[in-house]
Amino acid sequence: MTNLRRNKVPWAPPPDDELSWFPVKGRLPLFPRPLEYTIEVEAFGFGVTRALESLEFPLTEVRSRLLDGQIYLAIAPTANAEQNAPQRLRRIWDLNLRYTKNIRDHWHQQVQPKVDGYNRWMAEFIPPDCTAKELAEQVRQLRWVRTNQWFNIVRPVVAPTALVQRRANETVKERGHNSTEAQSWIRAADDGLAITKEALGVLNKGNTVMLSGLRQIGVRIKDAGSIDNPEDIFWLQWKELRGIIQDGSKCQERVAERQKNASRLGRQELPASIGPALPADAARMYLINDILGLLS
Amino acid sequence: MYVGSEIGLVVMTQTDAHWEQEAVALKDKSINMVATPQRGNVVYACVPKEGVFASKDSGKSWDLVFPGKVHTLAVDPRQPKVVYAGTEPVHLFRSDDTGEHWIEVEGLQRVPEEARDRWWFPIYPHDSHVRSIFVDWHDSRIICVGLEHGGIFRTVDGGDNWEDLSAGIEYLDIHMVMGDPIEKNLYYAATARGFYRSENFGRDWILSTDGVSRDYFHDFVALPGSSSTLLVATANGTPPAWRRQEKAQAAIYRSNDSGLSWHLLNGGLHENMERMVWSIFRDPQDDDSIYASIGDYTPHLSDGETGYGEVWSSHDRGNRWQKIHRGEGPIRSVCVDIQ
Repeated sequence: MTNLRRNKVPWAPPPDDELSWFPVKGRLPLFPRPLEYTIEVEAFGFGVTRALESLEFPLTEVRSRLLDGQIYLAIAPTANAEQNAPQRLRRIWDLNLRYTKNIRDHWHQQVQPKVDGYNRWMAEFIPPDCTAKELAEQVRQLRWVRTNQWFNIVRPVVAPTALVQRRANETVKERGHNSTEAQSWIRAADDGLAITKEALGVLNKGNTVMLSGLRQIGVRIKDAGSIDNPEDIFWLQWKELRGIIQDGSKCQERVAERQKNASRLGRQELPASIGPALPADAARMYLINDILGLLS
Repeated sequence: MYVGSEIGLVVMTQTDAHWEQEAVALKDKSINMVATPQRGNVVYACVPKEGVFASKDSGKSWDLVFPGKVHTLAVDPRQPKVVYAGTEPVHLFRSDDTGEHWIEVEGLQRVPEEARDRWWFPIYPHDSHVRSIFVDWHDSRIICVGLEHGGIFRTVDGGDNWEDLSAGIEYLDIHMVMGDPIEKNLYYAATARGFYRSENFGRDWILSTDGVSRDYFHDFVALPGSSSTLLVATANGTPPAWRRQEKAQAAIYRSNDSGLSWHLLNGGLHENMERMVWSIFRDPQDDDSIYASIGDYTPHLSDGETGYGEVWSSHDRGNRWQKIHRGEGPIRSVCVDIQ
């Protein structure tokens, strides 16, 4: 059990320059445009954060920023957990028992129907003949749906698979590869990996239908005179888009400026990390690389 | 005494210092909260999947007075006819006539979007809910709500304008928020990761868990004195972790210095209870008497199992406890009314 203490000052989220940033590759767009960043990348950040903190991983936020147009992530620590990191890390197992004992059945019976349901929602989130206000509200809801999709894939599938893989590796070291226990964990890890791939397939499908829906909105705001091409919608931010749908404001200059700025990106040699270096065993990084590896 | 369990409501009466079961009402309904104006015959029961039920004859007959996904209730301590109900998704409703008519406190929906973006819940469909409502002891216009998950919000004008008071709390799974009955600027909040204290009217929360060897905090109660005595229900980790063999490892802690330091209460109570202490209630007539409701965590019960619940009482501010009721169904709430 933990031994919490009374802090002397109120907790506050650490500022960006106190965090250690690293580039992320794979499932997220390499050079996200403003709409991709403010929907997909932020949905990823919120969904993964909520998934891991609900499993008591010792972090408060998976934070993102763009450097030369590329996504860097940082893991914000939790003061409470870092006081009691060993206990917290042990308890992650207790919390994951509901998932790790059978990742496959839990996914198929309880989670997949919901995640599929989110895909159906995204495939038809633009009601025919909806008003501008209704459409703006649907766009607001869209990011939440995508956030929930990320959450529902990371919490019961990806994070438990990373835990089972870790347990398999530890058991192989302790008991030998051919031990009954190690073989059992290896099978569980392999199965978790197979389910992870299946879940990410559903997530990919969600991304496709979400982009298709956004392109439909692009046509609508082009017809309203806000942009010149439907694809230009991706150069607007999520919040801006909700306003533009309602007020019909002209965004051609804004889009052109952003496209011009983006054409200069990607020419720098980017560092492998930014900010203060973290110790190899920093509690906040527990299994983070494994989880991001599974996601990519 | 009204005992709200996951399979109905038990009405108990006290005779010669013994509590006896008088009736069972709202049979098979899952009741997560009972509340009364603490004098008279009115009692409310909160059934999250159905709404607010009210009885005006001390629990003999009941009417559904507010349908909806209601998670919590609070009776205004200064206006016994005024009752608030908090729902999922987050909305706050108010009745000025003992539950006959209800209106939404609409100002809560006008908090900035950045704050509302935190109103979220880990369980599908991921809608946050109002978990706790506190109406100030001395000023009915001051109301605080604690959101599970989403933070703490307060109005000082009866609900038109709301202020986000979440700064300083790491994990915004708020279980209970309350002002100190004596010190007006002193506020407390119990969350799924800690117990917080504010000496600044709900701003600048500071984690305050000296002496506590648990990190999951649920309901708490304040007993008046020269400085408030607090009793808080705790467990080791959040409910999903209670699948382990030792289950919740629940305990009650007491602070004699308004939440600055804590010690475990074990006079009659087990130090590591398998079942959770879901609520603690202060006797409206006797500042030294407290009641605690205890029960299984329903999602971890096997199919067909109803689980068990108990009510314990202490008449010396928590030093010694005795079990006064045990029944089928986890007991989520208890309250005592003066007849």
